[in-house]
Amino acid sequence: MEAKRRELVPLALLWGAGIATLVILIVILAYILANGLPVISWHFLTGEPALWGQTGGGIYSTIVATLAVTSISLLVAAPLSVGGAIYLNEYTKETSLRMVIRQAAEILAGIPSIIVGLFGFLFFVIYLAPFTGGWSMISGGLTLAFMVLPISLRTSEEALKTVPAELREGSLGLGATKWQSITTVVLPTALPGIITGLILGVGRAVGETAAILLTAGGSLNLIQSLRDPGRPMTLNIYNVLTEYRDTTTAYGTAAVLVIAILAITLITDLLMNSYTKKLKGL
Amino acid sequence: MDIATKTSVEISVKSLNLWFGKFQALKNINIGIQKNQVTALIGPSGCGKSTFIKTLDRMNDLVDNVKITGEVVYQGRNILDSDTDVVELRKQIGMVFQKPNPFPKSIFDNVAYGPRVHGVRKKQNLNEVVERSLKAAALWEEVKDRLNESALRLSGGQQQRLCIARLLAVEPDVLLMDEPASALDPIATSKIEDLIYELKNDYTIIIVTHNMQQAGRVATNTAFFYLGELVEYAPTIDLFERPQDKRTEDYVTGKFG
Amino acid sequence: MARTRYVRKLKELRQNVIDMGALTVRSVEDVLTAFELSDTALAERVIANDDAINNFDRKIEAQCMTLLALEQPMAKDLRMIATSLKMITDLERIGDFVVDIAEEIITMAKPIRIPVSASKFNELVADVKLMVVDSIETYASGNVQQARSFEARDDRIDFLFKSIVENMVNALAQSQCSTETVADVASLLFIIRYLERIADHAVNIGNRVCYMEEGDRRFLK
Repeated sequence: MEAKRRELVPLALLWGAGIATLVILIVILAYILANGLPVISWHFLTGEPALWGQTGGGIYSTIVATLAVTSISLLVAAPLSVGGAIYLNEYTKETSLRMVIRQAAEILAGIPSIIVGLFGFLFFVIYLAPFTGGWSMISGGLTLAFMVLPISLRTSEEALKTVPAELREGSLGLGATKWQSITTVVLPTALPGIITGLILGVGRAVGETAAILLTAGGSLNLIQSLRDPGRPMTLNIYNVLTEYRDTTTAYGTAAVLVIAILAITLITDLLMNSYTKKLKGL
Repeated sequence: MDIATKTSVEISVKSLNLWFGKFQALKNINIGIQKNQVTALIGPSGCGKSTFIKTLDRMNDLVDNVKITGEVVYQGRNILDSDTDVVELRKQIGMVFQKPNPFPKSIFDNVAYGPRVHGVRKKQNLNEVVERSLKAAALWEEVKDRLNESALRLSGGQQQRLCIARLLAVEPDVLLMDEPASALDPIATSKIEDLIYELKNDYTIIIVTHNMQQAGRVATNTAFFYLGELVEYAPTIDLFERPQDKRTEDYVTGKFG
Repeated sequence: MARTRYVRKLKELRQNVIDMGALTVRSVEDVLTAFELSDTALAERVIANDDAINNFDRKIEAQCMTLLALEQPMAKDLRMIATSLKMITDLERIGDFVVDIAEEIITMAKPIRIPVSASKFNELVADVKLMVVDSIETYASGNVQQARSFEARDDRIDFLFKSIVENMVNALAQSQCSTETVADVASLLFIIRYLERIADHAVNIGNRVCYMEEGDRRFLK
């Protein structure tokens, strides 16, 4: 009995630690949603922003800007990260080059986003202005791609590593070429992991603020092309708060952002679960 | 080593040496594998038998730091030559692995995999190959009504027969089997053994096994490997009833070490 | 050395076969002594002893089957078990012939008289006795060279057997014998026939020892 009671103390502490994570998440979500949901209306989602110097108005243009920069970053980062992961995992042996590339990805992931933003500003906004249009969706998207790349590279590589060597040997043993083996056996098996990595990257891109602040511009006008400047949702929260103390719009935008990220995560999870089940034949 | 001269030889290995880095895994192996017979390779773990069959379809190419000398003559050519078309070679010399490794695809797609990567596209041709291969692997009756189900839903023994069917679909001459029944229960094992015995009519089979009774049941000839050496190679009955080498005697009677 | 329990069981089996062999040798020696001394009582005891040999036969067969079923013996172990399994049948048959000889001794007139050259007869008896002793000895020692000599020694025994039979038939034909004498001669004919058969079993044992030691399967072909 005594021993059992002594067991209870660490158990309770561990339980508390586990529950704390959940409580913190719920508190933040509840607070944001409680304040933000009442703000959301059809007009809020699709309306024009308030005129300069005024508060309120819709956030349609910021939603479009978020979609634009996120899509660009994903389009650039996905092939690079998956291709890079395939190269590292399938084509290089455990050599120093591989270690260097992996280390580089790690360091890239650890660089503060404002510094990546600074680079994006100098390189895309200033130096490549003739192509990117200066502050623009392209500049913002490419800068975000730098931030997405290391995350999805590492997760894709991990996903490829979990594909059993027997499957590769099986395919090669049937006289398939290496590339055939990769495209027909390895990639389909690793797909759930790769997609999850890309989604993590998207989450990062959608939520990034500092890098966007320096590269996407900040115009509330609806973008007409990708070379236009724009203001993604995160940036909008920052701007309306710092410039107008417009907490209403901030909470509303935050709620939309949170719901979007939750939706992306949940939908991907569902799709990947059913895909994995199909792979396993359940 | 008088076996080699008796009947026609499918694969002739001469002075084969293999190193992983500084470790010599195979030492001066000379062996003639008889055509349309089952040859069993036995020996304690790490004796080089698996390394040896992987050399026969150049699977050791996938390993870092390998150095190989000597000759493996198949169809009049040394397959160890650097200009050997490895992809073509592996169509003719196929491998079945220790753990059944079906692809996470349907039963049909598993068997059709080989023909597809080799360019067969017509649905009707694929249907024929799949049926023929599954029948040859004694699996057709069990799966003919659920070809579109995932291969991973099959039992371990069925999965292994599927892997054999998958191999037969690319129409090889030689089947290499690396402990093909070690992960299976006795009933599934005996099905695989019956299948191996049947298949030798059309294929040359080399099987690595830890199970001496299995070698006894399926193999015409048996080779005993120890510490990278081919110690003794003889008709299976001779090797088990009256081995010539003391090391073979100690191994088959289980009094090793 | 791995499989110590198995190795011990093999040793036990071997020892049992040797013990059974020793028992059989004793029976052969005793029955020949009974013959020499016309000792009916000893002949009776020899008959009673046959049960012990038969018991050994069943016990060793059971041991062999257990080893075969449970231990998957290979190589020399397998050959030793197979040899033992066959050899106990030879020993058991020798035991039966000993009983047959003892029964003849009991029915014969005392003292037993041999109506032909005693030297050939004594040679036959001595040779057969020695062959049985040697056959057990080769099993125990693995002396293949000695085992290989059995065929030649058996040829000599066969020769002696035939010439004694011939002599006896001639003796019977030439003399006017009483019915009792004819009956004794018939018994003697049986006895030397049994001795000749005992030697054949000893030869079998020798061949099986060659197989056990060297995997030499020639005698099976």
